[in-house]
Amino acid sequence: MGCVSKLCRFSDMKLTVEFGGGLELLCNSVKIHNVNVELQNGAEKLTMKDLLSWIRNNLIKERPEMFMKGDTVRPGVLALVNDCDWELSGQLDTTLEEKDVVVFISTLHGG
Amino acid sequence: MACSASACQSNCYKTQQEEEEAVKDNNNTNSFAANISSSNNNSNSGLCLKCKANQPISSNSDGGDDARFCIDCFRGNLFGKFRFAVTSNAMIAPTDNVLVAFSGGPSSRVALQFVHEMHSKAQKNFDACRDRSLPVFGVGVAFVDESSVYSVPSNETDKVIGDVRLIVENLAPPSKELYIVPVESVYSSDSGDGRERLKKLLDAVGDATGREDLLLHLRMLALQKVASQNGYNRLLLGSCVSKIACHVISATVKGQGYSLPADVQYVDARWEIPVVLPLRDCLAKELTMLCRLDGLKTVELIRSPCTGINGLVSSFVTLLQEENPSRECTIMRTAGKLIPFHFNKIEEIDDSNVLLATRRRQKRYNLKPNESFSSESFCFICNSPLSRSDLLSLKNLESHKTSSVCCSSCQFQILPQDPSSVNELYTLLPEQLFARAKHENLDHYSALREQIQDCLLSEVEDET
Repeated sequence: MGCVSKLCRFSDMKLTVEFGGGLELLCNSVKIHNVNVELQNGAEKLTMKDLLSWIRNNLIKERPEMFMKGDTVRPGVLALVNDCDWELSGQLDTTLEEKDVVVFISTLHGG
Repeated sequence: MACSASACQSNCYKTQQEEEEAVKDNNNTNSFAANISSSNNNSNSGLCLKCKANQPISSNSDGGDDARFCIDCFRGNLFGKFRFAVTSNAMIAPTDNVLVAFSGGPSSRVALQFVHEMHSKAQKNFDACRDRSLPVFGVGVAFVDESSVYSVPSNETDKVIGDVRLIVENLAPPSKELYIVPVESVYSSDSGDGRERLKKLLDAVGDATGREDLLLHLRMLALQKVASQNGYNRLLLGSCVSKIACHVISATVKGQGYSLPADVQYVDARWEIPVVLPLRDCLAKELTMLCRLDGLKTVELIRSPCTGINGLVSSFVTLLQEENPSRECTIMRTAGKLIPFHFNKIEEIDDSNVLLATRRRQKRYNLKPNESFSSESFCFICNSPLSRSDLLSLKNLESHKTSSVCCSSCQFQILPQDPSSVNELYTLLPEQLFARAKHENLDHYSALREQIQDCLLSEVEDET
C-alpha cells in the first residue's frame, strides 16, 4: 500500500526524462529516456538539482554547455515536472517522486 | 459538474487539503494533481489567477504581471490573444484566402492550430446557417524546404515532409491544401538548375550574417510566389514576441533603424500578398508550452546554428529574458512606439462585400501612421523602405539593372565590395527580385504622377 512503500524506500528512483526542441541531439537523438536514478548516500529525497547533474553525467553525450550552465539549465531551456513549469514547484529545489515525468524543451527555435 | 473524485483526473472542486490526502492514498498512481501539491512545499502555490479553481501549470510572467494559469485558462489566454489580433486588425475576412507559413516549429504550429480552430468554427457556422450568407475563408499551408541549402540527406528531408503532411492532413475538416516549396523555386527554371544557382549565390556572400539574412529574404520571396500563384491574399506567419524582440535588436545593430517599424507590426502590407502576424503578443516559451500540453506535433529541422549577429542576439535576448521574464515584451513595446508606415495596416475596403463590422473595427483600431510620405522606395533585396538619406547617399548600382536600389544594410552585408563582383552576384540573384523592384517603382512612379497630375502641363497644350 502507499504508506508501506514510503517506509521501505529503495535507494533509486524510476523516472521518465524527455528532451524536445532539439535538445535530444545531445543524447544521441533519443527523446524519451526511462531512467533509474540512484540517490546519493544517505540522501532522503531527490531534487531537480541532483537530477540535473545525474543527467549531465549519464545522458548528455556531447556539448553539455548546450544543456546546462553551472548548476541549472541553460537560459532558453524550459523545464517541466509533470507538465508543470518547474518555477512553480521551486526550480532546482523541486522534489521528485517515483514515476515523475521531467521534460526539457529548448525554446530557442524558429517560427 | 459532478464527478467521482477518485476516478476523475481533472482538477475540478479539489482543494489543496483534499489533494494532500489523495497523495497518501494514491502514492503509486501518478495523479497529476497529487504530484503537483506534494512538490509544492516551498513555493507560493496559489490557484489559477483567472478561474481561481484549478492548479496552475505555468508561471507566465508576461509584462511583469506574475500570472499563473491552469491549462484551460493558459490555452484560453493564448487563443484570446490570437483572436484579438485577428479581429482588431481585420486580418481574416470571410472572403479571404489565407496561406499559413509553417516551418515545423512551435510558433507556426500554434498559428496553424489556432487558424484551424477558427476555420472549423466558421465551417460549422456556415453549415448550420440556412441561408449560407457568410462564406468560409480559405486556408492553405506552405512549408519552405531549405534542405538544399543545408545539404540534408534526402531520406531525412522526406521524413520531415512526411511528418508535415501528416500534421496538415489531421487538421481537417475543413481540409487545407499543403504546398511544399523548395527554396530554390525562387528561380523560375527547373529545380536542378535552381539548386546550383542558389548554392553559388550563397557562396558568393562572404559575411555569415549576410548569408543568413539573404536566405530569409529568399524564403519570403518563395512564400510570396506560392501565395500569389495559388490565389491567396493573406500570408500568415507565426512570428512571436521573442522573435520580434530579437529582430528589433539585430535590426538596430545592422543599421536598419529606418525600416524597423515596418517589420514589427501586426500587419505588413508592403508585399504583394500582405503579411499578418497574429501571434505577435505571445512568447516563445508559452507557445512551446502549449505544444507540449496539447500534444501539438512539431517538426524539428536540421539546421546549422546561426553563427553571426542573429545567433549572438538570440542568445543575448534569451539571457535577458531569463533574468527578467518581461524583457522580451519590453523590447517589443519600446519598438512599438516607433511610428509605423502607411502600409502597416490592411487597406480599408469600401467594398460592400466586406462586413460592416470588419470595416468598423478597422477604423476603431487603426494606428495613425505617417501619412505624409505615402509612396516609398524599397530595397530590391530585402524590401525594406528606404530613407531619404539612404536614397541620396547611395552609389547608384546601375551597371546591371536600373531601378534596383539597395539599402545600405544589404549593401554592407550582402553585396561584395568591388563592382565586378557585384555584377557577378546580380547574375546569381533570382529574376523575381528585379521584376518586383521594377513593378514597385512603376507603381511608385504612377502614384506620384497621379498626385501631381493637376500641375502637369498637357503635351498637347499650346504655348500661348
